[in-house]
Amino acid sequence: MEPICNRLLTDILSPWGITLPTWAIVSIALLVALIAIYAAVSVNALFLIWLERKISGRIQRRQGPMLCGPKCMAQKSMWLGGWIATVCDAVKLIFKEDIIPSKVDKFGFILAPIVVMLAAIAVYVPIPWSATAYHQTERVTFAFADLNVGLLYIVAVPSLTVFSILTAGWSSNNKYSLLGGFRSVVQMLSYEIPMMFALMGPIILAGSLSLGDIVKAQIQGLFGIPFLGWFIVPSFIGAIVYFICSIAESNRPPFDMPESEQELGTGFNTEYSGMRFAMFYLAEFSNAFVVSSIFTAVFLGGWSIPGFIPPAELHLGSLVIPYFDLLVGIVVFSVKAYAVLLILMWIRWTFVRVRPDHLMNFGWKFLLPLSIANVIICTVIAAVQQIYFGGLS
Amino acid sequence: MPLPVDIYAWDNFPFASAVFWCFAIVMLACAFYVVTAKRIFHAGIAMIGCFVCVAGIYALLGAHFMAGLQLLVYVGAIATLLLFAVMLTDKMMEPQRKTTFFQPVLGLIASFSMLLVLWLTLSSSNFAAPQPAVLEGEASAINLASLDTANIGLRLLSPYTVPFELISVIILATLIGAAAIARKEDRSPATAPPQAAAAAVPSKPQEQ
Repeated sequence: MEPICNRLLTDILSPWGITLPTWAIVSIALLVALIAIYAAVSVNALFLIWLERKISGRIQRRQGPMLCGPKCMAQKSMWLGGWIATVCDAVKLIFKEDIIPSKVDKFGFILAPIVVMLAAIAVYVPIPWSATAYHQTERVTFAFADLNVGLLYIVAVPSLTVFSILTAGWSSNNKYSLLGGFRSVVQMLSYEIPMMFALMGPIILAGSLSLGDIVKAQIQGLFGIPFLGWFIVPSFIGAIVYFICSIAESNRPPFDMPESEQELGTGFNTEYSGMRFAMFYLAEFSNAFVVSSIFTAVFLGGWSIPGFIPPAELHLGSLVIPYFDLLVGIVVFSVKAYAVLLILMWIRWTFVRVRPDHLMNFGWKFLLPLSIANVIICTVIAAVQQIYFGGLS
Repeated sequence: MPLPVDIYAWDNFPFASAVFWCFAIVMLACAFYVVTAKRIFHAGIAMIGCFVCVAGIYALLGAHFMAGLQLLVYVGAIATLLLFAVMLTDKMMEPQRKTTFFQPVLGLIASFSMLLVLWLTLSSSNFAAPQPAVLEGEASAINLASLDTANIGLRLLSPYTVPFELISVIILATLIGAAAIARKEDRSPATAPPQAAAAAVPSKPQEQ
C-alpha cells in the first residue's frame, strides 16, 4: 500500500506543485489507511448483518426485515426492503444505556470488547485486495501492509480474540458466561491446529508466507497450465479443512457453542448490552468477512482472473483510466470474497449446532489427519513442479 | 524505478522511536502490574499486554517472524492456557490473596539474580550493526536479514538440523508423558475394586 499511496499522493499533489517531505507522506498514508480500514469494517459489517438477515429469511421462507426504510422500495422487491434496518439497530445500540452490572469485574468487562474489536480490525492489515503495475517496475500488492509473514500474522492475531472472549466470560461473574468462554477457548485452540496445517499446503506451493506472494504464485499456474493455478486445485483437501476450521474460528454456527442460546443464554456476552454488545456483534461479522477474504486470497487466486491480466492503464478513445488493474483487482477480489461469504451464510442457516464432544472428535480425529495428508500431497506437487516445470516462484 | 518511500526502513518511519517508547513504557507498566495485581486474573491479563508489547517491539525491529510467533505461541497458547488454569483452580471472584512477607523477598532475590545474569550476558555481547563486508563472510553475525523467515527455515534445516530434531523429540516425549499422566485418572474407575463394581450392579433393582 505504501508505494501505491505515495504514488497516488504525489500524482494528486504534483499538479499544484506541492512537494511533501517523506515523513508527511508516510503520515498521511497511514492516517488515510486507518480511517479507510475503520470505515470499511463498520459499513461492511452493517451490510453483512442486513444480508445475513435477508438470507436467513429467504432460507426459512420469510422475508426478513421489511419495515425499515422507504416503502416504495420494499414493494418493488423483497431484497430492497428494510435495507436501513441495521443502521437503525446501530443507532439504537449507541444510544442505549451503558450498563455495567455491579458484581462484574470492571477491568476485564470493559477491556474485552475493545480487544475483540481491535483484533478484528488488525486482521485486515495484510489482506491483499489488489495489485497494480502502474508507475511500478513490477506488480505491487495493494494491501494495508503486505507483511512478509502475512499468513502467520493472520492466524496469530485471532488469538487475541480467544483471550478476550475468555476475559469477557470470566469477568461477567456469571457461570453461563464463563462456560461460554471456556467452550470458545477449547474450540478455537483445537481448530487452530488443523487450520494451520491446512494453510501449510499453500505456503509450500507458493514458497512464501506473504499473502501477496501467495496470490502471485497462483497467477503463474501449475504444471504450465494457468487455469490450474488456484491453490484450491492442488490443495483441495486443505481448502475444505480450512473452510470448516475458519467457521469454528469465527464462532459461527454450526460451531457457535460458545453462545448457544438454549443452554447458555448467548454465553460469553450474556451480561453485555448497548455499545459493548455491538462491538462483539460487529467483530463477529467482520471476522466472517476476513475469513472469507483469506480463503479467497489463499485458495481462490485473490484478485486474479485465470488467463487474463488487466492492463495498468485503460485507453477508452481519448479517455485514459489510470490504476485500471487496481480497480479490476478490487472488484474481482470482493466478488470472490462475497461468494465465499454467501456459502458461509448458507451453511449457517442449513446445519444445526454441533455437540461439544462431536466437535472435539471431528477436529482432532478427522480434520487433523486430513490436513496433515494435505501437507504431504502439496509437498509432492510442489516437488514435481520444481523438478519438471521449473521453480514455482 | 525505485519505490519512493520504504516506511519499513527505520530512518523513514517518522515515529519509530515514539512507537518504541510507547511499547516499552506500556510493557514495563504491564510487567509491574503483573507482580502487584491483587487478583491473579488481572495479573494474567497484564502479562498478555506485556507479551503483545514485546511482539510490537520485535515487529518494530524488523523481526516479523518472531513477532508473529510471539503472538501465536505466547498470547494464543501459553497465556490463554494459563488464564484457563487460573480460572479452573482459583475461586471465581476472590478479591484478595494473602501473601506472606517472604514471598516479595524471595521474588526480589530471584529477579535480581536473573537481572545479574542478563546484565552479564548483555554487557559482553556486541550490538553494533555489522559491517556489510562482515555480513558477506561466513561468520555473519546476527543481523536483520538473518531474521528473515526463509533464512530461519534454511538455518533450521541445514546447520541446526540436529538440535531442531532433538527439540522435537523432547516435545514429543513431553506430549506422550502428559497424555499418559492424564490417562491415569481415566483408568481409575476401571481398576476400582471388583467388589464395588459387583455390588453396584445388583443394587439397581433394589432401588426400584
